[in-house]
Amino acid sequence: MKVDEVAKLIDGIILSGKNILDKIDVKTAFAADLMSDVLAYVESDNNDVILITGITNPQIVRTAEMLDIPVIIVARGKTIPKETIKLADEKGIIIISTKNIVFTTSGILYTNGIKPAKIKSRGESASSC
Amino acid sequence: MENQPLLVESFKIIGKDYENGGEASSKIKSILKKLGISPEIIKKVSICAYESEMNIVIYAYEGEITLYIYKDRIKVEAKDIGPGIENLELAMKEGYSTAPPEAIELGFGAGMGLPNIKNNSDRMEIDTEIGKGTTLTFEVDLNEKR
Repeated sequence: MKVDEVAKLIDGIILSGKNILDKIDVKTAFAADLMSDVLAYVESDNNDVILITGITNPQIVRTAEMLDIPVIIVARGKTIPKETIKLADEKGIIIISTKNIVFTTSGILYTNGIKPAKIKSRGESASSC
Repeated sequence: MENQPLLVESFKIIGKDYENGGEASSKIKSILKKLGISPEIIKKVSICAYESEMNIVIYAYEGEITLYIYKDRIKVEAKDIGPGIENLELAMKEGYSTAPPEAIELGFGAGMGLPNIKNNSDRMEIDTEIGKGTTLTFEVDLNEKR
């Protein structure tokens, strides 16, 4: 799904990464406020994951950058600091702001065909340490 | 295995600098990308480097992250001057955390960091001394065994 369509479905406003909208095609999503959990669980090998969160600080962009997550939706209509938007523009990450809560945002996207993100099977590689 | 590194690069980390926390890992990621390392390995190193960097930002006063690239592996050393880890066994447990509230507000401090580094690396070592600091080293092999 194109980012424009995602934004439209959730009544969102695109705040960063406007120049790369055409390059991104999202298919799955993961919702969390804990960036540690995002880092621990999400597999994003195809650059097609949306991160839905209520957190607004620059670390959401850093986390997305590390995992090649192209799109972040900030829910609950939270005010997003300038530093976060600036960093997202620098790193080529799209931020969409929506007044919807995480539950509603997730529900709308799920109904419209966005699937749950692929999750790492925890501890799988732990045996090699 | 202790051959000479092909590349060594260090980055200074400042404790409580939540705004810039992650920048060193971002630089490490772009160095690896430029070298043409496979995306899967880049992701593993990036996740581990970022968790290590945030650990320094959250818990320590200052620190340094050094990237070593060898022919057969990537090593990252995250060394800090800080309080040290009181109970390493507990710190390695998923869900255990001593993070301050401001780290939790940022979405960190869920007790996932060290286990996550362990899961994403091929080797991890922690050397810590109470009141002095912690050195965390991890390695990711370049030749995937899978």
